[in-house]
Amino acid sequence: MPLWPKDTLTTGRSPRVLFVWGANYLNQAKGFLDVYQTLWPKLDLIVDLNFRMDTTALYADVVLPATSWFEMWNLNTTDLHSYIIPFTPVIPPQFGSRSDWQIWQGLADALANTGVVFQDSLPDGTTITRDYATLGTDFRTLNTDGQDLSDDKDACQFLLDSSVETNGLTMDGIAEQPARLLETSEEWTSDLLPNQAYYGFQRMTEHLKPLHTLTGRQQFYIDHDWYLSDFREELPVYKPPVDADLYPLRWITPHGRWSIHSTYRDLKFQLRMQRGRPIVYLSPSEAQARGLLDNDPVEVLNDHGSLVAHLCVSPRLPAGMALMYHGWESYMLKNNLDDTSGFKNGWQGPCTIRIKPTQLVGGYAQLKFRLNYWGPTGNQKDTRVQVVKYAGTLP
Amino acid sequence: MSTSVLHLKAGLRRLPIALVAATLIGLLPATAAVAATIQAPLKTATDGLDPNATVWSTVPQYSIALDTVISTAGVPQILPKAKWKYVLVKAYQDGTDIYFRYQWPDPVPDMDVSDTGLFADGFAMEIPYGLNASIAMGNQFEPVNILFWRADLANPQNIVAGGAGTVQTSPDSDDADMDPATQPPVPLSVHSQSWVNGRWTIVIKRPLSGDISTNGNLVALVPRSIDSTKGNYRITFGQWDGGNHERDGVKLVTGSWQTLYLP
Amino acid sequence: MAKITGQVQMLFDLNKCLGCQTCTSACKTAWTDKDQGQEYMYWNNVETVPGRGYPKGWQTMGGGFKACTNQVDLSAPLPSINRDYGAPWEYNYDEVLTTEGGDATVGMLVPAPRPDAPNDYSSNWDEDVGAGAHPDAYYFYLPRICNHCSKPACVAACPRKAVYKREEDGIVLIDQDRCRGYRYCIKGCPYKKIYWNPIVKKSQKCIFCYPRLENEDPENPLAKNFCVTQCVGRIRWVAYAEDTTSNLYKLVNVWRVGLRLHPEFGTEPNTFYIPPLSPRVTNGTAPRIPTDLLAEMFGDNCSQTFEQRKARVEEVFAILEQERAKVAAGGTSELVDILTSYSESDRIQL
Repeated sequence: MPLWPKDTLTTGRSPRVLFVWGANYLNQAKGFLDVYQTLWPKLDLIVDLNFRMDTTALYADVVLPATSWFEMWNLNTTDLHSYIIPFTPVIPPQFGSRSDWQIWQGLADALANTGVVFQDSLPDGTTITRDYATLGTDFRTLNTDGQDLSDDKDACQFLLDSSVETNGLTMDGIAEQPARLLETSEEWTSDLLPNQAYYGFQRMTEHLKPLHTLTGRQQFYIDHDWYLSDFREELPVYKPPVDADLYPLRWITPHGRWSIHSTYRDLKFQLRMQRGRPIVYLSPSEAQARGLLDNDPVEVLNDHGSLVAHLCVSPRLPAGMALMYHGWESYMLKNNLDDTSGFKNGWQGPCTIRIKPTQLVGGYAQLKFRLNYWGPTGNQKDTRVQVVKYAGTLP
Repeated sequence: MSTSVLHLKAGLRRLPIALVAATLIGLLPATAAVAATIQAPLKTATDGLDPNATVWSTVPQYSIALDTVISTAGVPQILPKAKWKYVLVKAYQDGTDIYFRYQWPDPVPDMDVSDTGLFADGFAMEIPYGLNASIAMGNQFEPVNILFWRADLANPQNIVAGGAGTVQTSPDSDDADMDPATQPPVPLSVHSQSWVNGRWTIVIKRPLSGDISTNGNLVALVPRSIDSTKGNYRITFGQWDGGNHERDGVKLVTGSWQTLYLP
Repeated sequence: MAKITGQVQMLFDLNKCLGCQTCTSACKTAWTDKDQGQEYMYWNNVETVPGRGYPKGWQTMGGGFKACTNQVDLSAPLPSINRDYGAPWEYNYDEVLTTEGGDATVGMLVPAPRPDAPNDYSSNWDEDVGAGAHPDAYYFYLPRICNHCSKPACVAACPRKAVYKREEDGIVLIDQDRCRGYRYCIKGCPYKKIYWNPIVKKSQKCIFCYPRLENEDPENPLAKNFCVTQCVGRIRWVAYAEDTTSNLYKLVNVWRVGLRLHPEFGTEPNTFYIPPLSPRVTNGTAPRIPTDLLAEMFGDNCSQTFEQRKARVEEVFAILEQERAKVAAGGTSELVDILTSYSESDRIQL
């Protein structure tokens, strides 16, 4: 696993600037009270690009108002399907907001105006000269032959032209009719088959292309030392829950249907179609055992943190579980700690991160760090809580 | 004041049914329809919208009996509880406008329609355009003109009807145009209302002329002193207790036409 | 009533509804988020069954025609906005979202009025609660619009003829100029799909998106009812009843898998529902959603007995399972093809 900045742990180097973009990092971070109490004091500057005033925005030094999806040209896709989806400006940017592309350009221009020039070293030891004076121009032209990409739509078209999957498509064309990718590059695992939905690993199963595993085949067996001897996971194996939190209820926080993570979680129209404020579910037996009634205010707590929500009693829950759909903004949950900072506890309050050691294995065949594919995840499994009637008063 | 009103209302809602029924029965025989002639003398006072203005003490008062009417259209109706079955009427004219003051007892003022089950108290005065109109909202060829007061409305509604279910409000009426972007209509008739000590007092003021220039449809009222062939008009009244969910045909009305006389 | 020469109909496949409320949001933002007094209204709503629904307890509130007669039941109480529909909560966004983070005085975002008694209700309060017991707990989603009934109780109830049924397409509308706010229609409608607007002091309801039907966009002729076009689960079909080539007609009249919601109300609704199949209970053969519950809700007409309705629900299940089995075995089925609904034009046939 790469650790960056290099030698952080030994040199005392510490982060100074946090740039949050396309995320509500503070609200959504597991163990987020630790993030707030440990990381935030180290930072000189917290900048948030956002189209909402969310929890992170409230705790940032600067919020740069960004356009939402219907105010700009942009592109969206994923390797989970085979389509490229354009965003188009249905309305002009509202209230002085700018598209991400324009914001980054503006920042590049501002840095260029400083005229700073300095020598910097890359992780591999290479020394390079960073000349801010040309940053604005570099940004707008990227690696093109002087082509001006300052316009959002031109930049999107440049991306289409530069990818084998989309070279041949035009922004106007896909705005008129969203299109499938034209072909898949070597990085994909399947060809695009006409009139067939995309599915993974077709090249391996039909064309016998080796998988990126040690054996080149599908394999469950991993003979890395840690798997073999330290954790006995060389084959998939059931392991009982870890009894780290000595509380009776398993804490489950699934994705909800009322929001995209935290986006829209606080929206009036969505809340009106729920119960108006955060709720946590218990089975009838667990509620009864605690003397709790439906819509009672309850405190969900463990050693990591706590939150106050209202109870929904549902027989679809098994005993031994407390469930809360995720993404509630911290300002929707009452602060239940004697916290003089004024910081509200959040839905991730009871969660901490337990890193699974085997996920730290890297550099071994398919076990190779790739963002979002392989690496240690924010694993909150085995979190347990207690739920009790909330005795305090709520606003 | 509104707090005490609400308190009173809650208290009255708990009246034993037997008591209400006794009141009902006790009042029933007392309401035989006897036509009255309501004199509307000429006065110089123009402050008649104030129900306590001195002019009102110089005007004769008439007690008009009200009967129960059950609505048409095959809609089963609730019967009015009929805790009161009369209205006290006074009227006068100042040469330009005519003022009507109506008073009746109502222990609970109902002015709120903010919920689906809430209805407001109402009162209506009906004057036919012609001589042969049906007392029950007129008919197709003999329409009537109604000024309809409801406790939640900003102004009385100016209505033309040609039979039950045909009510149409004039463009000058408060809710005739619900588009907030347009200029609010200028009402032909205005009113004052007050509920004090278990009694509604409302005053409705309207031009004698009918004021056709502003697209109104008020029946012109001409005093005998102006035209010796005029001065007598038919008039009748309707009354709704909102707390009893009275609306539409569920109301108290006079059993026959009364006479309005402008000397 | 004038003769209806055309009749719009809508069919919902409850096996496909995922309760996402996109239909509700589409309807809300299109029709009832601009005028005051409409905040609490959901001309389209989706409720969890079992559950009290919207408004609370509407299924037993009354209204409709009694025992297949022409006698409209006006004994039903009028629901209360805050208590029975749910208060349209407002939020103190300005207070909370304009306060700098870290400030101990930062407010908490709270709904007003508070969702406590007597305001502890909303259009979707019972969402996902369900009934039964884990692991055999059950619930399903029931999307509802005005049924634009062939025998509308609201029309029968209105002494003003302000509520009327259009001859050309059977859409039931309320003439806002004729409405005097008597609210007989709200009492009369057994589905409680007419709403009191306390600001304009008139009753209002689902208009089946008639402006979108009348003003067809030549470039997008399928842009019809918002609740249909926006339906993520593709559970809705619309067509004219007279169009015997439509998929809706085939589902209702040929495959006979569409049932009416509470036909005993006697209003002959023009919406149809395919009842939800469910897995077997643990260690048993009964479906997890009790067929009795479905038979209490769904049937063909007002005169069927409970046993006849139950038999119909079971018949629909048998047809669905038989056709699914055909496809699972490698065969084809017109029914499964229609239900799969490959394109919008398979569902929007108005």
